[in-house]
Amino acid sequence: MSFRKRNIGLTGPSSLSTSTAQLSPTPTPGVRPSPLDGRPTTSAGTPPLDDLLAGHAGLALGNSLLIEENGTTDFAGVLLRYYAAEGVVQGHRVLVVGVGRGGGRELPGLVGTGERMRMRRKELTITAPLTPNRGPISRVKAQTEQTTPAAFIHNFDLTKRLTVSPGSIAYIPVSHSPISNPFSTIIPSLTQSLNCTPTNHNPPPHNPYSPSLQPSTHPTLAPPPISSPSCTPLRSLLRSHPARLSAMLTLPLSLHPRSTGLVRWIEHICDGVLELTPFPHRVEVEPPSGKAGKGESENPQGMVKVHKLPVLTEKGGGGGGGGMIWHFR
Amino acid sequence: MPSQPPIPPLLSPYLSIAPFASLTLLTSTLGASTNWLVLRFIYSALKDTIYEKDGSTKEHTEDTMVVLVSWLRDGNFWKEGGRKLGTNFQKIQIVDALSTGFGLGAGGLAEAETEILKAIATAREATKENGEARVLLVLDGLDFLLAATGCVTLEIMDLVGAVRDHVHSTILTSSADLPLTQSPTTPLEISHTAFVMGMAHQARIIMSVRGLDTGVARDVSGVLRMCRGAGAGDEADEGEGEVEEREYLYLVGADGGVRVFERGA
Amino acid sequence: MADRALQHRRVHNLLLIQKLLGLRGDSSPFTLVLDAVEQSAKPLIRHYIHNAQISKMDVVYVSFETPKAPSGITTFVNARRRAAAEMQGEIASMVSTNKRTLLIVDNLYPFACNTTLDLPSFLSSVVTPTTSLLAIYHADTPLPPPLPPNSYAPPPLTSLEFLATTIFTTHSLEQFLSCKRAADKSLTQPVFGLEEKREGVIIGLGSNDPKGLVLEMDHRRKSGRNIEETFFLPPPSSKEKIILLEDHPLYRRSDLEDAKSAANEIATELSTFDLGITAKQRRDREGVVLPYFDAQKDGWGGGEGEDPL
Repeated sequence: MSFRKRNIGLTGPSSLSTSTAQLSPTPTPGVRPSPLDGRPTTSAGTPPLDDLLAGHAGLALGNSLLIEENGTTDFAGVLLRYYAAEGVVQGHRVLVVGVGRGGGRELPGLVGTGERMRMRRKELTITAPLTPNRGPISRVKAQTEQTTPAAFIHNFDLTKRLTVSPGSIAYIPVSHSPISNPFSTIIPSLTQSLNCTPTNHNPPPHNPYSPSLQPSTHPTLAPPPISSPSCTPLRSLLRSHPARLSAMLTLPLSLHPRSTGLVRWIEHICDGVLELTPFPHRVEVEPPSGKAGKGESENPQGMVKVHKLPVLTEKGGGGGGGGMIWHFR
Repeated sequence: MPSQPPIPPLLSPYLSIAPFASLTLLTSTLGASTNWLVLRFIYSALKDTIYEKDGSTKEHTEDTMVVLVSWLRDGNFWKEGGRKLGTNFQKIQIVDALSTGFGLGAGGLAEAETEILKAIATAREATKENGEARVLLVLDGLDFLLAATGCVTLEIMDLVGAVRDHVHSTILTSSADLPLTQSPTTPLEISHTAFVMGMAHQARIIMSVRGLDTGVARDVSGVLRMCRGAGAGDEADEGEGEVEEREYLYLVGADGGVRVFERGA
Repeated sequence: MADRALQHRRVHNLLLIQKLLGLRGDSSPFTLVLDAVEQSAKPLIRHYIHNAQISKMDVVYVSFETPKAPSGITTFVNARRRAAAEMQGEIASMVSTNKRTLLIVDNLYPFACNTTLDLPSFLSSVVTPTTSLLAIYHADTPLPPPLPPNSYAPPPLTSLEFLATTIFTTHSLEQFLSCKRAADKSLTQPVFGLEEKREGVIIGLGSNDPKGLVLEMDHRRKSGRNIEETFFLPPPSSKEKIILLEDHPLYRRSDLEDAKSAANEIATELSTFDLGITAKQRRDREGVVLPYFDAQKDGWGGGEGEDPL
């Protein structure tokens, strides 16, 4: 996954060294202070997505990110899987809503080990070339290799699958009846898991909520008295646990266009909003040249538009971003 | 320490204490928020000096307290922002409706109203020894309460009317995004439009922030438009000062400092 | 002849508006004011209150959105959260049959929202031979959609407009003038406020000018036929009187200005247009014989290739 800037819209990434990860006295794996103001951030799953988040180089804890998608493709779901996989690998408690138990088997496999230095480049395409020859490394093994220094983000390969030990991911099923409030089950279980985690480790749970994977849950989004307040407890929960919880949500825009008030309120409640618009698929496009690492300059697959960014928009800074091209491999 | 003065000079005439029983409406959009504006209103209200239009200053004669009620941002957010400006938090009553969910639960709007009135009474009590305190009420995200509870617009407007009676002046924030105000079709859109326009009819001044019309720029965060509201006619008798209609550009820095400037400047 | 009719109309309408504002006689039992955020009806209401005071009438102000009683009224009624029947009773108790009363309702929205209330009969019940009703309706505040029993009923605004004896619509002077200028040049009308359809804009620039407003009047006589006219209403505090909008200097100036500027443009174009031809070249130009010149002179028929000689 990589994003390439088309217009200038945001401050660029700052170079990071592992020394910043050692600033906090008890480093939680996968969490590091933001280069801008030091608040704890966790990876949003892929480096380009981290770089998109207004210089914080990650999703600030206590904030939520909404990924909207035009069309019937599911690139947002892929981003969600990266996010979840990162959480699993870091040992965070991951709560997935709206995906069946099989979803855990679809997480991308881990590739590469150890620390990873973020390099400063002029463009935002920063993903180091993935080497498909390496097989997936089991989670247990990856954990022991990361004693020091802690890695913030790992490389993933979608063609591989992550082996996930049970218990690291919790699934919350979403009921399909149009009347019940889906969040009525999510919030209590979220609160419960937050309350019963041991205090010395404090792993932050990730929470990908993807109604797109369950098309029949959409009727529950329809009546505003149900869905808008349902998102509120999420917002207040995020704020009351500002160092422990982060969330990523997806929304299909073809079913709920941005021109409706309901979607606009959901966007108001989430802290960051990205809109993906995949280009129509063209069959006659030439396959990229054989050299690994060079192929990503061609074949843009869609546009990313940034509508709102965590922390930055609340401060008052401009939230909109120019359209950016993104590639997907 | 922000590099800009806490109150941008061009903005100061608009931040002076509003006349008695007036309403100031601040509107925002998805990409442009009014938090920085609210913080500056509060900071200005609690300062000892009032900024006059001609640049001179005079002392506050009355003690001012602020009651801040927010349904979208928690108390820590406001405290952090206010601290950077140097706001005196002793004089602010914060009702954190986001964390406590006032109005969203079973208590409904009546619960929210009770809590707000309680906070106003507490603010009044706090300065009893100095005499009657002037209370400035700030309602942030009230339109969210409307969306979340799905109540009738009239009920929310009655709530605003009821709490306005107890304070010196009120500041209200609301979103004014396109989906919420254009061609309203769903009940949510209709009630939101009715709420915003209804408040605009009562407001003395309407300050709207929005993103740049032409896209994104590195040196401009958005556009700030100040208009005379329909309620402006009320104090023409008292000569409290006209509202001058303007449109400015503003830039919010990474440190939270704000610069307000004219177009082409 | 047309001039005299025009003059007659102007004088008649000016007298009419002065009669209406002055509340003379039973000229308009139910006056409806449609306003928007771009121009509030409050200055007009203040005119009415002022005139009612002069005529020694009682003024009852029913308030839904005004927290502070305007000066010059007799009774201030806070109508928030009160049932319509209760309001009806209270209003009835306040008006007396021997003294004329002006009843002002500052916002009809709460009444219009009330689906159980029959708005026309409610309003008709408060209007008596000695009570005139002046009510404001915010045209840009949408009502909730009607529920099934009422879906076929006419919307509240339609009923109100049907019932009213006078309808005033307020406009901001600046915005009205810019629309007129655009219409004169056949350009697209400028839009303000919500109609700008810009994210974050709910009110247009040039709104609520304290220097005065444009008032569109639609008065229905007892026969039902209506008279329409547009006026300029100065603020209550100034000494000026209401005038026809046509007589307003800015309105006329925009007409004259356009004519003058057009003339100026043509004049400057001609004076600066200069090919830089010398006198000899001009003479030669005069002497050029255009082809088929003779053919044109004698009016011979066609034949492009024909040699005239």
